[in-house]
Amino acid sequence: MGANMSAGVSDTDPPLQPRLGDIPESCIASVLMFLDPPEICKLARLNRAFRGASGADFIWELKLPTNYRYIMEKVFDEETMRKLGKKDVYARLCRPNPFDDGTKEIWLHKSTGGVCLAISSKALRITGIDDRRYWNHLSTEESRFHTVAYLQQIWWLQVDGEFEFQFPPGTYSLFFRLQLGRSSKRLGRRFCNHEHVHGWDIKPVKFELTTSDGQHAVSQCYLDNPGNWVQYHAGDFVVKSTNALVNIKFSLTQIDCTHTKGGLCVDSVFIRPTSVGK
Amino acid sequence: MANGENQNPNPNPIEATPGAAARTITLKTADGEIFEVEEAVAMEFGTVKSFFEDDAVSATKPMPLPNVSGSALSRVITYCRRSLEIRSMIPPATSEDATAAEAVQGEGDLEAEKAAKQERKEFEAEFLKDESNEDVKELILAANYLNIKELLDFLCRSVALRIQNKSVEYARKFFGIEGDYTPEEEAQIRQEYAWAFEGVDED
Repeated sequence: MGANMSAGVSDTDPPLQPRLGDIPESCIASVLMFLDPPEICKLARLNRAFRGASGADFIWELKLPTNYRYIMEKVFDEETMRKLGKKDVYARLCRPNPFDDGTKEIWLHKSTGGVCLAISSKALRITGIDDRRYWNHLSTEESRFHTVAYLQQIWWLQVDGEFEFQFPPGTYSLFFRLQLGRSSKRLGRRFCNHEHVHGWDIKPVKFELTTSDGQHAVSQCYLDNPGNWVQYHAGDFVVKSTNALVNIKFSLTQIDCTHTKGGLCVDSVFIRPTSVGK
Repeated sequence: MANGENQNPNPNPIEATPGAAARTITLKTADGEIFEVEEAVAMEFGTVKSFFEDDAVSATKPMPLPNVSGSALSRVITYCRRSLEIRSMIPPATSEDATAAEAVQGEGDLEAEKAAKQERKEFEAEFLKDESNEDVKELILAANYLNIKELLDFLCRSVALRIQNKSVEYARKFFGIEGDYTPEEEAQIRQEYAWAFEGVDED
């Protein structure tokens, strides 16, 4: 930075105008940082400088959830973890990633980086699951896990789940994905078999959710809408601190033994930030 | 050579603290305008700060800013002055082992912080209200050159708000840039970023 003031600027030169396209990549990156990921990716198409800026690690470090290293350890192997830049980590995590022997999936909500999870029926504890008079496992393309638990008939319906995870701070909602009736595809058309569906209009089912730090949610609901998959909201829980392992227990029960119920498909449990719409 | 002092556009310059001489630093812009700026404000410019720290030069010689125009510098100075004023509204944080009496005073601090935040919000909204896209870009270049983090963050945030949820064409016009991709490169990019536009993965 020389103190030489006479560097050729004379009275007759027009005042210096900044070249409009000359905003340095670092400034572009600082602008992109305030946009959401899909928007950043859209603007990468502008020109080379934008493409370069959109790949800046510091941007994606901010977009990734605070527990991304914890998630990476569950779904990526050593080699992958070492060679991925932050943008690629984000991209990979936006797709559903299986873990725990394929009984669970995790993905990020694209625009917010919110952590979403799905837990297969195979990872749930279902009373009487081994008794084929009551329950059977069905293969189906309508489940991301390709299998659902199908209830023919039972007095005592109890589906329990337990899940331990390090959630980024926030409020989360838990859902059971259920359907009354058993669907199948024939010749490209979807059919739903309702032969076993009964008992759901007599009494509601109970959803319950508890966490290791003492939160508790309970609700009742009549199952309905036969022939369609419905996500039933079981409850919400709040995670306050970063890096704390939270253990959640959740259940679906209908144990009124004055009536039987049946024809229910249990696919999975979903957990996602409450702010993320369905 | 035009050597008149620039008329200070800000009607409320910072009052010199009683007893201390208000030291000023002289800056000269690319278009030959001279600015005399209070030291406290000029030291907000990272570039100026390191210049005077390195050189131990007396503040009498005007420091040249060949990449900044007079109009841009004037706006930058206005911003930094106001920003300093707002920051001085918040008393310094009480230490960890404050006594009970000092902890109570902390509540007053929270009030002051809230008030300062509100002031800043209003000031920032006002500051860019009539600025064109060109003006904002010029300010970014100036803030970047002068190394003023707070101003740069604010400007980048504002630009992001202006181009958010608009088309690629709009952003192109805003920054005044032409695409420089070949069709092959364009296709490559679309593929590379396809993940961001895939259908939302629901049930």
